[in-house]
Amino acid sequence: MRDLISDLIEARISRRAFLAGMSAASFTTAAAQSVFESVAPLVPGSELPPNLARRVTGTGADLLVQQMLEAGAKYLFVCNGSGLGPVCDVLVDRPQLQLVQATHEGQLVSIADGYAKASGKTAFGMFSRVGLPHSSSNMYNAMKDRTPLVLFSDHADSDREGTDSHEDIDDWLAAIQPYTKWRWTVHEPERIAEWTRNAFKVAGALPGGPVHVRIPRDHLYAGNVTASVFAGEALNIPMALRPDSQEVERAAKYLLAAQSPLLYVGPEVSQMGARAALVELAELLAIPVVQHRSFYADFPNFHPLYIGELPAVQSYLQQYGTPIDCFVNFGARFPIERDFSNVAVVHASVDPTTIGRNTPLASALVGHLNETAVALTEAVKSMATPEQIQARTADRRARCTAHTAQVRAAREAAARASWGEPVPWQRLMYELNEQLEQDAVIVEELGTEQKIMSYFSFGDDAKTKIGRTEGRALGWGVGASAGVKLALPDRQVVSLQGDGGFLFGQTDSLWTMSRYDVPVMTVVTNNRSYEETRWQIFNRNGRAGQANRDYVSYLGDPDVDFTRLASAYNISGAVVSNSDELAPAIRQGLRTLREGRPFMLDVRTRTFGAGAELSWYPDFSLAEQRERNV
Amino acid sequence: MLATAAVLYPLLAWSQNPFPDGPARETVVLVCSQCHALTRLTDSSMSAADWEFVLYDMIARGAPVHEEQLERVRQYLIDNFAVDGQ
Repeated sequence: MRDLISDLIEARISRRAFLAGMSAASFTTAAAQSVFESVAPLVPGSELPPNLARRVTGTGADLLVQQMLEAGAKYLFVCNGSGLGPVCDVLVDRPQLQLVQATHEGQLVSIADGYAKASGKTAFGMFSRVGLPHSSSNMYNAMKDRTPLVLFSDHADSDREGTDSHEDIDDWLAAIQPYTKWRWTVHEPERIAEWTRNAFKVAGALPGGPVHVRIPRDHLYAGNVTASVFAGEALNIPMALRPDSQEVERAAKYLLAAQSPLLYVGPEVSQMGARAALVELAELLAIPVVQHRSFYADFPNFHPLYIGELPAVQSYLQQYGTPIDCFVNFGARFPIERDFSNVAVVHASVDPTTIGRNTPLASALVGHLNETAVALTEAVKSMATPEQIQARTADRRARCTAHTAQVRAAREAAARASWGEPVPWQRLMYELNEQLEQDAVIVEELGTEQKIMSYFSFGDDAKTKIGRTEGRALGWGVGASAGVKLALPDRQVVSLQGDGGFLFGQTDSLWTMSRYDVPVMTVVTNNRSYEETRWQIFNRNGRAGQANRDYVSYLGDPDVDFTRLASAYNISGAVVSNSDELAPAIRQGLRTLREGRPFMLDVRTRTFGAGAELSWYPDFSLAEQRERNV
Repeated sequence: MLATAAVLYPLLAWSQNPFPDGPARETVVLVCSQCHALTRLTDSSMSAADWEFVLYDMIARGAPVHEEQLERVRQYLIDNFAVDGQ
């Protein structure tokens, strides 16, 4: 059979001769045909298997929709715009592409971003040609987080673009260059499917990112356009790239030799599904773990080796007694404010452009992080016996475990001791954790991630944390939570928002939640202040702080009742002012979620610190300047 | 002159020994200084109840205090920094 196959591939025999030869060699007709099909792609002149590409004739929008569907699009997140007309026409016959509408392009992008972060899949969106500026703040957030988004818009008709005419400017794409991984304006309707494929591939190839494609409306409406549409499997590129073996060996030696190693984890770990492999590596060598400020929890935060964010390291070292001598960054940007002299620094990332950018490295590991973690573990095991490893790590393991247990116990005690009116935020977290399901998803956009990390257990078999974005442009979380729930419809989703963050134009996403019965509980920690901004300004002890003038942080006038905002969208809610009221209000919210509707919980929380007592703001009323009552 | 002395005296006292000895002194200095200047403690004028609230808030935000140190830290902050003392 080998000779027959070789002759076939080398074109020395025909298909018929091959099948006859197989039959003569006692193969059944079906078996011979099966062998032929398996080697057919290698035969000169053979065509791709017919299921990987097909010719489609239709409007430009037909090509767009069919290629999106092949790429795996379940939802298309949209905003209103007449440029979506050609797509609407296609959907009459392609109902499998579900539209989810937002009322503002910025929230559209955050919904898509939440969907992509929760599902691990590329999300698709489309908005009006003039919606691009609105979309850009959450496009920036997505770019910082490397979230794969494909965002389309229509564009001026091809005979008018570039004329600075109605709804057109000279260069739309220049403005979003830093916020997108790639961007393009289509100029031939026959290439709409091609650029859709390209957008999908660029957005999803690691490290991912948002891409934007503009398509002139006349091209979307153009009829009788014929082009190839590729099947989804033709677009999936295996990305399990293994790191250089010599670098792995070098890094493993550093880790084994280290007296006091530290593992610093970031979002690439979660994006590549590497948490379990990293836990195995950390446990093998008893490496304490520090979390980069990430939009995921990249290591189980209640694990005995998890010590928190970087500022928590000194307290651990006080217990352990040996300065850090090996720092291993797995999938995070580098904390550039730290001094790494006399430390062997290892950086593992899928993105070669970030490795070594700000810090001299002892070892650079470029590759898929799951592959890297597995390779490092194997290398360490090949260099030392279990007994040798145990001897080197036992003391560190015991001290770190004892330290983290004590710290967690203190946090629990602090929350239990926090009570009263207004509600201490940590009490809110404690009560939520008491009632939420073990695998609930927390979408957060609060000042600091630690508020969440202290009270909820995150991990592959626990809760999931999504947010806050690394870009930290407020106005993301409410929309993102709707996207998360669309991706994970069978898990509880709770969105934790500050009052200030919510007021960054996020009311719009309540409309989407209400229209599509997206049962998310939005919890607003309402302290009537941009608290951390106020601290930052006042603690510098500048003129404003000395004069007790809170120019930009006080939010108590008007005193917003967020449940009334929700009520306008037919979303029920509750206001909680006292800790006693928390548990029943949370129960009410969870009941509402089970009934399939969103819920708003407005919790009046206490603020403190510099400027907390102030209600001063630059008082101004136009009433004093009006001369006519019109 | 008397008024000036009354204003300056506390500042002088703090500058000489802003963190008096005590069973939790080392923990307070180490933990608090990782995230902010220690003048946030010495320059504050908060009641004992407020200090307790701040301590629990900071622990919840990630200040790595051990449970077995918690009561000593609370008492140290109140004894040395609360405007209403005990």
